[in-house]
Amino acid sequence: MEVALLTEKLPFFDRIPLQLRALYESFGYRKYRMDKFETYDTYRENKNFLTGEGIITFTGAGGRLMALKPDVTISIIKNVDPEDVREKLFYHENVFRMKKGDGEVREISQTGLEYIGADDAFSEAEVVILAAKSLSLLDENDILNIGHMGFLSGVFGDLSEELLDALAGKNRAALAEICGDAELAETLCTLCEKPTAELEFLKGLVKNERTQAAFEELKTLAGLLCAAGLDENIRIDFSTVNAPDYYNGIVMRGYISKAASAVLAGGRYDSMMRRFGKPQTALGFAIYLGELERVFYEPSEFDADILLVYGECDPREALEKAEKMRAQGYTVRAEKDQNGGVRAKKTIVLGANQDA
Amino acid sequence: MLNIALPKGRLGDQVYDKFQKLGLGCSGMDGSDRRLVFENPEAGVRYLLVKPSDVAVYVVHGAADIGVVGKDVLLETEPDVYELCDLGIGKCRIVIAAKNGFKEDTSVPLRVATKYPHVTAHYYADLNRRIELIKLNGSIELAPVTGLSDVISDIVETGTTLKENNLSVLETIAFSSARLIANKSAYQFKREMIDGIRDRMEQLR
Repeated sequence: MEVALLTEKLPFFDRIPLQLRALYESFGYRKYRMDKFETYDTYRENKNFLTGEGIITFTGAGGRLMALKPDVTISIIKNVDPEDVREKLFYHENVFRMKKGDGEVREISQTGLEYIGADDAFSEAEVVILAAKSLSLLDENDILNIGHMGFLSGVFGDLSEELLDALAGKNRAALAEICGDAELAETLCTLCEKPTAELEFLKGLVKNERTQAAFEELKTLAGLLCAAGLDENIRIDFSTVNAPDYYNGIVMRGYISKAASAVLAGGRYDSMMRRFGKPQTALGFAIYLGELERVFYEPSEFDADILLVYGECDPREALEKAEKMRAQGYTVRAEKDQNGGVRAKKTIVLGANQDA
Repeated sequence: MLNIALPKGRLGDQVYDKFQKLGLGCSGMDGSDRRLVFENPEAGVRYLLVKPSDVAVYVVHGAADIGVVGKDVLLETEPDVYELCDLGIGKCRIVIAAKNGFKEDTSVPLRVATKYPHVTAHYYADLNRRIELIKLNGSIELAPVTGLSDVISDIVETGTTLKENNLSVLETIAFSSARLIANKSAYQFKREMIDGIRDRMEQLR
């Protein structure tokens, strides 16, 4: 009872991880808790997975090079039991990264979800639905963009860095120059539709087995999202790309109107699982909460509802009074005098027989 | 309201002309008014006049929804934005230039003065050439003349400044022109208006 009252009083930003947790638990996902450190070797070969940001390292006992965890997904993959058919996990962790350029060290609060063994239409829809619902918890104006790395591989064959940059930047001119097809460049850069189940606009790009398979997958997903009533905030948009060495299927990027950059990113990373020698398929996403702290910052006017000044009063009586008020749902800060600069809606001075 | 970051100066004036042709003009912006923010509530636009190299910063952080910036700045800073179209104005090149008659000594690292350290380092790394970068903020042409550097990597429009300082172009690294860019998040929520501006800008070309 008391805890419930306190949770309601929390600022919106502090409530987010709790609400996300409640959402994921309502789908039966299990919380995954991990250590802050990992051996550097875990990351060395998969640096590109970490979007080019640096890793903070230190020397551990016995001279082993250790890293402050820059990412959670890799650790989860590493610990997946190859015998387990399915695992549904979520986490809320702080990760540490070094910003490219100025080398600034940052601690980023991250909540994420991983579905190991997600291999059918249902599981894919479930993860996308959870991503969409997570975004809606953050802001009523939200958009989830969905792309497909397999579809792009089918269209282009090899996906060079320049090609992916041009796609990610919706840069028609650059894309046309790279692929030598202005019409295709125009289509891929403008393509952005609500996932009405037919995906007519994509049909023209289906040219081979890979694109056909990806097209069917997207169509099924779109149909399920429409049926779930979520199509309003979801777009098929091929500027949504991610490292093809790791991501091989759908990729997601989520935006909210209050934040200037994407707050959610993820996708299907079966290729990443293979790199770690795991047989399962996998799908997941992460939400960068750290970036949102400033967005949702609400300066609080008061430190507490009531400032209880106990002065020379009997401490037992003061403790009792404070507890009584808390039981009524007020937040109570007790102080010996009024000199602390505490901001309260109401001040009660014990033994003074009056409320100031 | 759509916030538009424009570069102060000559390029900014040309770009603003284009916005005016789209019916997105703003009173006071063409004259001597020294304000940095101009608003046209009827058209739903607000212009922010900023230093050319800062346009992308405003857009990346969402202080502006869209902006116009030289490709040279985009190459140098690689901001995470949508690059929606080439406005076809402000055309120039980033070149390597040196004193007339300069002969490169490949037995020592090449000293390069530039405003574009990232682009320049990338260019020489591709050539496997060892260099010493000297970052300057202006009057780059002075560097080889005074012996501060062997060559410079700088923006050239007509080449007159180079000529007047007895410098000549050795190599072109990149071509630049003004680009319309958009904040990735703002684009999701103001898509119609931004795409409308892009389409009409393309027609103006």
